[in-house]
This record gives sequence, C-alpha cells and structure tokens, in this order.
Amino acid sequence: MVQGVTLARRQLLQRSLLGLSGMAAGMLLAACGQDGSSGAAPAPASSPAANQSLGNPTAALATPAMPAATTVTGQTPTGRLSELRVALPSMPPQLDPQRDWWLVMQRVYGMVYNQLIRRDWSRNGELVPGLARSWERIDETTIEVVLRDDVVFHDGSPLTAEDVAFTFERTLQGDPELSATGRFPIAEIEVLDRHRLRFVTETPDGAFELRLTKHEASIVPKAYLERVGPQRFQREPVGTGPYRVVEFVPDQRIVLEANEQYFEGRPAADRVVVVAIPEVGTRVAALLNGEIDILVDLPPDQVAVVEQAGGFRVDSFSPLNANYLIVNGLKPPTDKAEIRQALSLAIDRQAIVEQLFGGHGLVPGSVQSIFDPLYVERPPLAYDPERARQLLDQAGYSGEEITFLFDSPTYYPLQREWVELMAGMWRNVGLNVTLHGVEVSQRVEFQRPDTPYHLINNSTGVEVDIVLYKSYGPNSLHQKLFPAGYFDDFNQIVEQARVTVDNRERARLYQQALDIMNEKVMVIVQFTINRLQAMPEKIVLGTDPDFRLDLSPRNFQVRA
Amino acid sequence: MLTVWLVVTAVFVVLRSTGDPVRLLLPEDAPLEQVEALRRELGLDRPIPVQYLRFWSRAISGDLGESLRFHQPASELVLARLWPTAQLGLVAFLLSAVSGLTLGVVTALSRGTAFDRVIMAAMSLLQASPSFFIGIVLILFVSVRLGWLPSSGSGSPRHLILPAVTVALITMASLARLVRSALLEVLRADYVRTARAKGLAEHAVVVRHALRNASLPVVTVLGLELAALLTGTVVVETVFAWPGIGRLAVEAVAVRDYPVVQAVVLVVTIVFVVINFAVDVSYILLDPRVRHV
Repeated sequence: MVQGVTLARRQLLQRSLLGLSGMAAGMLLAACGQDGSSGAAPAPASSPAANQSLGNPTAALATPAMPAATTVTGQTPTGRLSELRVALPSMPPQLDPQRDWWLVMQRVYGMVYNQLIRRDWSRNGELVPGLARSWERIDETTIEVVLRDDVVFHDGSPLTAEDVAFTFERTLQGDPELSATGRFPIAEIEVLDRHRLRFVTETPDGAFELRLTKHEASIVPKAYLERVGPQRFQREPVGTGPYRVVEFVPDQRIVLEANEQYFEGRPAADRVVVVAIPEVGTRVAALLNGEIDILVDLPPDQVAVVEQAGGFRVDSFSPLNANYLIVNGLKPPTDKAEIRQALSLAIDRQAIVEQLFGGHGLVPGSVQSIFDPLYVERPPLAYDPERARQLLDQAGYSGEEITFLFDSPTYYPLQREWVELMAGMWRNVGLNVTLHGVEVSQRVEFQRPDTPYHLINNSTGVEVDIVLYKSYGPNSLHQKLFPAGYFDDFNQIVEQARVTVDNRERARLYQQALDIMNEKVMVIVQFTINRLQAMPEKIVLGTDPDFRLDLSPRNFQVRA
Repeated sequence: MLTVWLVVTAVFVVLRSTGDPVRLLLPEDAPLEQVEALRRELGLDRPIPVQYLRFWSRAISGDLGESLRFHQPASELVLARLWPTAQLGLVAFLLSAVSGLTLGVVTALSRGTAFDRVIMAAMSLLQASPSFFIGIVLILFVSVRLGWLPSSGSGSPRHLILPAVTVALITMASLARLVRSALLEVLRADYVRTARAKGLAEHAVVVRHALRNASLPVVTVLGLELAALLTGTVVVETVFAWPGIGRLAVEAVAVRDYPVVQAVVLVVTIVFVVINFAVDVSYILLDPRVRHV
C-alpha cells in the first residue's frame, strides 16, 4: 500500500540519519547479544499479582489522567484483512503462557489466550469479565467464579471448570521450569460443577482478582496439554483466544488463523503472520514499505520518521512498567539516606522525558503506575539540585566514588543517552558517579549482598499489589540481597496490606509504604517510558499497557 | 582436530565464567529456591569439569544438548540455520569474487589512469563503510524508495539479493584492492618482462604468467573470506532479519544459551578447518614449489 511512497531527497537523508541512530542501538544489541528482544531481557511487569476485587470496585480510587490511548470501543468498522503481518524484535522461543512471559511472548499470548478476568483499557483498566461470566467473594479467602458456557478451545473442546482448576494447579506443584510456579497464593481449588469453581487462598488476598488478569493466569486446556505433554505444548499451543497457532517455526515465524468460534466474535483478519526483524531501522522501513502491518516498540526517536511518511498512525501509551535504580543501602556512601535522597533529587526527570523521549513518557510520584487499580495521585518525583547539594553537605560527602551498573548493550531505547544525562546531572551537584556497562546476564549476577556496586539499573511492574510485597517485601529477593536497616516499618505495612481485602484500606496502606519507599529512597524511580506502536491508518488496535497484542474484535478492527 | 578441540574447550570455559543463564530464564524477582531448583534440573549446578565431560560424552554420539531458550536440540537449531547462511554466503562470495577479481585486474592494467583512481577511491570508501550502513542505505533506496525488493526477511530469491549485495560489496572492495596490488607486484617481475620480450600477446602475459603468480595471496584471502561468509555475517543478518547462523550465535551468547553456542562454535570451527585445508591443497596445484617441499 505504501508502495509508491516517494520521498524528497532531504526527507530521505533525514530518514536515513534517524534510521542510523536507531540502528546504532540496534547494532550494539546485535553485536553483543541480548537484545531486549532476544529475550531474557527484562520482561517488564512480569510479576503476577494481585488485586482488586472487582466485585466491589473501588475503582473510584484511581482516576489518573490517561495518556492518550487508542481505544476501539464503539466503532462500527468493518473491513477485513486476509493477512495481518506483525514484526517483533525477536521471536518468542515458546508459547506456554505459564512457562515464561518475556515481552515478545506476551505479544503473542494476546492472540492465543484469555484469562478469567481482563482489564478493560478503554475504561481505565477496570476489571471486567473474560472467560468468567462473574465472580464473587464468598468470604475473606474464598472466591467463586462462574465460567461462560460458550467458550471452546482451539482443539474444539469446551472450556470447563476442570481446565481452570488444572491451569492453576500447574502453578502449585513446584515445577521450577514454570515461571508461574508460586505466583498464586492458592490453598485449594474446588470444582463445584461444569462451569463453577472456588478458589481458596492461603491468606486473605485482596489482589487475587488482579492476579487472574495476568499472562500466567491464561487458561490452558487440561485434556490437550496432558495428551501432548508440556514440551509439545510450547510449540503447538491451544488456547481460547481469537487466533490459533497453525505453524510455529522456531525463531523464524509463527502463523495463526482466525478462531471462527471465538466467543467475542469473528476476528478482523483471516491470518496473522508474526516475524522477527531485529533491527529497528529495518523494521521501520518494512512498515513504510507495506511489508508489515503492525510495528510494536517503535523507539521515540523514530516517531517523526513514521509520521512524515504519511498514512500511518502512531499510538503512544504508558505501560505497566517503570525504570528504576536499585540502591545499595549497605555500602558507603549510599548507606546514608541523605546521599540517596540527593541522588534522586539531582535527576531532572522531566527534562529527560521531554528532551530525550519527545514527551513520550511520564515522571511518576512513586513506583506505582497510573494504571494501578489502587492508584492514588501524587506529585511527580522532585527535581531540586539545590536541596541535593545541601543534603550532600549535611552528610559530609566528600566525593567518594559511587558506582553505577547499567545494561550494555541497552534494552530500552535511548538508555545509554539517559544514563549519560543522569551522570551529568549527578556531577552537577557534586556526586562522583562512575558508569559501568555490563551485559544483562552479568548485571543480574551483581544483584547480591557483596555487590561492589552502589546503583544498578532495573525495571519493574508497577501495581502495588503485585510488586510491593513480592519484589520489595520481607521475603523478597531484594531484601535478601540488600538487607539494609530501613525495612522495618515498610515490612509491617506491606504484611498488613497483603492480607487486607478491602480495596480502600489496602490502597491507604500501600500509600504509606510508598511514602517510606520514597523517603528512604529504597530505590530511585526514574520514569515510565511510553510504548509506541505504529500501523497504517486503516488498522485500529487498542493499546494494552500489559503488553498484549490483543487481537480480539473488540480491540482490533480494520476500517473499510 | 586439535584446533576444533581447543576452540570448543576455550568457548566452554569462557562462557561459563560470566553470566548466569538461570537468572535470565526466570523472572528477575524469582525466589532463590526456584533459581536453585532450575539450576539443578538443567545440570548447571555441577562443577565445570563434570559438565565438560558430559558435554563431550554426549557430543560424540551427536547429542549437543538442548537449547535452554528453545527447549529443542541445539543441533537442530544450528542445522536449520546452516542452509540460509550457506545461501547468503555462497551468493555473496561468488558476486564478490567475480567482481573483485575483474575490478582488480582491470585497475591494475590501467594503473594511474583516472578510471583506476576513481575505482580505487570507491573501493576504499566501501571497505571503510560499516556493513549496517551499506545495508540500511540499500534498504532505503532499493526497497523503500524504489520499491523493487523486500527490505528484510527470507524465503525467496528476491529476499536474498539485498543482503548478498551488501556482504559482497565489502568483500569485493578488499578483494579488488588485493588483486590489484598483487598483480602490480608481479607485473614488475623479470619473468613478465621476459615473457613480453619474447613477444607473447599481452593477454597471455597477464593470464598465464602474471595472474597465476599473483594468485597465491588472493587464494588465501578468498579462502578466509569464504569461511567467514559461510559462518555467518552477524551484522548483515541482523539488519536484513536473515535467519543465519551468526544471529543465532549472538542471540544465544546474550542469554548464555550454552548448548547452542557450543553447537555453533563446533560447526563453525569445522567449516574453517575444512576450508583451510582446501586452501592448502590449492597451493599445491597453483604453486609447483610447494609440491617439492
């Protein structure tokens, strides 16, 4: 379609320059491996988790100003595509949603699977029925779920309560190869009849409904999985989603066909072909050329290139993910709260978001996302270099070296640039920070008690129900690795919040925990970088902060 | 054989000295117990010498282990990538060998003319350009602007053209420069003057006397280039999303997918050794002096 694009010479030049800058990042990735894409990279927001009883939506709690998100509801389209081509930076190595959920896998899970409950992003992420027709809290620890009775798996078998029970029992068996192991605090699952079952949680768990919306809560077919075994299932997956996998060529392509019996209606494209184009510049060229229809993870510096070409729409949206720095609270000088505060106050986050990301990002007030069901608005993290200098004086800081470990090659777009900008800002207030780039595989190894580093870059999911207890709480890896002395109050609060079912009360408790996190600077939250997706104007695809490519007809349409 | 053993062993040890595949396979906040359990399951908790012995005892029977990332045999993954790599490598090699030789000979014979200077300047420029730059420029012009060829992917001969030309351009440039200087060297030699003096036609002088003698360094370089092309051109494969062995290796190293890296290294080393051997044999054919040693 865009075949005939002719470009003025100048545009072409600009484009190639832009392409090159994107490429520099891409090349680095390629050269050292680890592309974010390639996999192990931080699958953002992968924690499972928790929350909210939808039954009594406390939804009023959170009404963040929503960044412009494309939502598809209410449209009456409706053209069709015979084939939709999607380019990812790398191919998902496998498609068992409970085994792993790296970013590239999450994209495809949005086509193949459903969960009992889903978040409706056109309504600020409200929890709405998915495969469950309804759910209800019987008591503090018991949730009863009623399933839809019109859902069939791709192999033709109907969805029953047995499949749901099987799905969650899989995570309770201690299988270390399933990343979903231990993600659901379930004591017991009771199948009541063909379409009804009860979950009994180990302790009261206000976050259970939220956990049911996550990738690892994707419902898998019991009979089929038991028949083919987990190995084959990874490549011949069967779900309930709008598309079924018909061909899986490892590392080359995945071909999917529309599920004509999909319970939310007939999907808008007959076939979907997923391919990998690792290099950003090439991915953009392929979109402009009409070789692919959906480009995900467009870096912010490439937006102008796509927009100038004409005929394309770029959607920019905030994901359930935040970038932050782990701060070593055991090792001088970052064992002093003043130093940690100064490190945080010295960063002009707004400038980085505006200048470097072209405004495609936001500065949060804590690690919590605006899309958290328990979100409570708070002012963006402060930038105050004067105060930072004062704090350094108070702490008697005299230029001791602070070491900062970051991913190289980088995973996030423009990460090297923002790391260097931050280093400059720190230097401006007199902090002596030295940068050390290492591969991701080594960076994760340096997250240990005797780490020689003070700051380590990382990213996290951002729903308090999911991350505060699990990632930073008393039994978290974080506290085992950095058992600094400032966790006591925090631990008490998150312990209490974890077993509080009432949403308002839990939200209040978590705000206290976030206050402590900010005050003690347990981590240095940086910003949330928007995700960008680009496609021809006739394709309408709702954005999903939880990283799915949700191709159900309510979210994906083609204009006639 | 010794070479193969040395290389594989070195890679085995170096790989295991940095990075931890298990931490990369699981979510970052996975509990340590789960990390340890998976490490045990994958056999990565054992001492390196034990892992090493296990690797060889299996490798001898053709089992190179299962990819940690794809959960399928590493040998299958490597074999699936061999053909696309060979296609790209061979086509690029032929293109570059023919064009490089031709340009080298023509410029050597027209030495000092404007033509020679322009071509040699262009060759230097090409040789100095990073391949991703050449690749992206080709994509922008040929693919996006002119719409003649697809920008990336594989599956048809049309997909092969751009990556092959990109690889060939760079190899051609170095080859042309090498052929030109080797030939110039030889053209000054006494036996060439003798050949001319005895009245041989110019083409006979060049082809039978000069070229043949200039061919030794060229064959050596050709052999190395062929081996390099057959074992993957990471950057070009990445730019054009070509499913080659180089990209496989780089991605596997990144996540410390040990079995895949080892399998690639094994195959690549064998290809290098075989081609080196072929080059040595060709010396015997080309250079009578070697035969008598």
